[in-house]
Amino acid sequence: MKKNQGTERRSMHLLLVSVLALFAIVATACGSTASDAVDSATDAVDEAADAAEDVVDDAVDAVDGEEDAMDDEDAAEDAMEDGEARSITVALVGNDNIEKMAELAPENFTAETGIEVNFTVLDEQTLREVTTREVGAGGDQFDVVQIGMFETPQFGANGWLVGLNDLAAASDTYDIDDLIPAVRNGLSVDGELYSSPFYAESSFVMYRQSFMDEAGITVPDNPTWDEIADIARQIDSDEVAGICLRGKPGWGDLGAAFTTVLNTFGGTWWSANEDGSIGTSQVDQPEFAEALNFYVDLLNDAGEDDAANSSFNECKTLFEEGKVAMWYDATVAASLFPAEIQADTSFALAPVKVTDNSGWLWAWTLAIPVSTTDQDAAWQFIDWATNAEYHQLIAETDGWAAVPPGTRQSLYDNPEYQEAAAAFAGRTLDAMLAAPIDNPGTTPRPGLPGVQYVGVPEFQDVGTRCTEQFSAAIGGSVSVEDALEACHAIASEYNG
Amino acid sequence: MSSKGNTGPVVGQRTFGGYLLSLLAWLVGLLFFFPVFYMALSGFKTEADANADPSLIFDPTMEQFNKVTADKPGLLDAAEAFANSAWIVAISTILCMALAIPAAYALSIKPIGKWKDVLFFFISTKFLPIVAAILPLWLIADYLDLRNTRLLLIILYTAMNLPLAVWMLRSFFAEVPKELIEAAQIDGASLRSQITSVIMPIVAPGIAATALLCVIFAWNEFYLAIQLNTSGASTVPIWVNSAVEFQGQFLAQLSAAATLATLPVVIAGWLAQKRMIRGLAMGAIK
Repeated sequence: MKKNQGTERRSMHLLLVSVLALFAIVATACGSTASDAVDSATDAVDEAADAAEDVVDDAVDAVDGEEDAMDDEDAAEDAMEDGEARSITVALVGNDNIEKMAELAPENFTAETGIEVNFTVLDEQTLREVTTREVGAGGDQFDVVQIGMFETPQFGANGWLVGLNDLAAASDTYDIDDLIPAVRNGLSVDGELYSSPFYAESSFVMYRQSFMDEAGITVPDNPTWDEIADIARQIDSDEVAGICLRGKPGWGDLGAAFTTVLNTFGGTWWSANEDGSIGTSQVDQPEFAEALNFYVDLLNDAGEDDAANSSFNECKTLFEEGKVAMWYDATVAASLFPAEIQADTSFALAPVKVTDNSGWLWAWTLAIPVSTTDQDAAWQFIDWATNAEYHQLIAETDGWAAVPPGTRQSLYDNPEYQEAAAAFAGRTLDAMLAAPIDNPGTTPRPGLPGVQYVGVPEFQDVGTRCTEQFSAAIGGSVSVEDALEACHAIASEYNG
Repeated sequence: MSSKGNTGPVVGQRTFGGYLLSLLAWLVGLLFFFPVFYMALSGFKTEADANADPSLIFDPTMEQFNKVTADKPGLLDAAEAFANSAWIVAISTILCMALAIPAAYALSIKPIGKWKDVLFFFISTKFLPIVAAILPLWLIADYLDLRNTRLLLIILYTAMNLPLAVWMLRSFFAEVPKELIEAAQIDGASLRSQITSVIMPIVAPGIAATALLCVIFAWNEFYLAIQLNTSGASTVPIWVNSAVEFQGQFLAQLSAAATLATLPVVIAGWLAQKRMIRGLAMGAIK
């Protein structure tokens, strides 16, 4: 009996020790490094006390918001005075340009300024969700966010972003007047720039010169959609498709390419009220039906295989493999081709119908949410990553052809860039300058300026749901008439 | 020994129908496995091969695995993401099981009053879509200064898996024969002895299966992690997501990252499976 009691007591001790060990493990896991369990248990108690104090502090701060903001500024200043490491967090979309920025930052930015940069890289859709929620809810997780031309004016007008005009004026390295005018306009509200472009693009037609030479076809420099459709049907064969167009659902995928066609066919998504708000859906208008029928017929007659699932990446692969003769898409594609493909590629401006220009305008940009705790460090980073000296830095490491294009006139004036990017630099600049940001179609549009989208938040939802219908029409599972009817109902949900 | 006229199959003897069923089972198994196999295969391709027409024949390369596991200053790297996930998953699973086992016991072997209501209450916490709760969660986490910490996901994953664990364990506990417990009581076994010597060996496979599910759900969870731990204490699914590029080919590198991300779960499944089979083979009343 005694023996049994002894065993039970030992077991109870073991249980107690196990529970303590578990808490120690939790505490260790919550720290950034694994330290020994006993220390961690002690730390855990201290941390719990600190956390409780923090909660009380936060509650006091929350009562006096202004004091809190001042504390943040003081903290940043104290950090500078004390020589402590300042750090900012930057949210970005993944691609080679961005990874290059992350690679260059430690030696070229942090070494100069002492500001450490933590990058959070996400896919485009997730980044949009996270930054919209973060910036809109006033979260202080990010000091710099990468947003597009669609979001910038909307966020700016909502007061969610720090205006950059004064910061740019005070900078010795950032020349705001060097920005390409159409890009600057697209990122400004009432003349105030709300984000700084990292790279910008328009759209144009790319075609394989050797295929055209073989067929004896000359593509006009400034073609109409009818001309492009004729050429595509003429050159289309079992081995080579005439043209590659986006067919994958999404307001930024099929939605972007199709809306430029819609604009130049004289159609639009909504009419605009006098105050700039959404009027009524225009999806039931004949111009809309004409544009969609044209797009679907062209893809059926001379488009790539599996067009309903194709977007930028798929078309780029097909173009490089010689499985399509022409491709209408972003100007940035030209700088991504291998040298032998670049040598065989020629360019024409975005095709038109009833308007003079139809190319889209897009920029990936860096912006500062008003909730940042270190605005000065955030601006220093944006200044570094988007000024002309950064172009020089990229040129020194990877050559001029690798410089992110489309943002600054000085890049296109640079003879070295002109030589390195001779194949596409001129055409890209032409397309950027011609992009009809302020007047993309034949009728006024609601919301803020935009070419391949309507500058209202509702467009994300409508564009995505409607392009699902249009993509199904391209795939042949629904008729164009049914897709239009469904889309009209979707767009009408937001009639003003 | 079969009697005359009995032409039916003996247990264990294969018939034509049996072979057909085996074949069908294999086909279905392969059908489910093929996408995973193709993902792993694509990880060994170059981007050009992965984006070309699907093919099983190519020159394998470790390029993508090297690329996704390379140390990138300032960016979330593989080692950090795996360490975060490992800590979060291990501790949340231990906590979850520590809470779920007593709860399951109290709901099956020694049912408390209104145990059915309690059980329903547990599962009702899963009725609300997580997206509907994200803003309050975000605000609370922000207020408590817990965003971008491992502790936050440990708490959330424990809570997320608890109802499922309680339900699963309850059904395993309910299968413990009452006769065995009564026999132990007659022999004078204390409550603790009953649990450790009689009940636990029988429900061990169930505990292993439940723990495995908790591990899988916590390891693969993306939504809470991306919304709350975007820039710190980020987990493996966020690291996989960062392999997606918006303009440029990424299928091969995404496949390589996804393959690496599934490995720990596969290993955990393999370990738990061994435990489960051994437990089942032991049996209670045979």
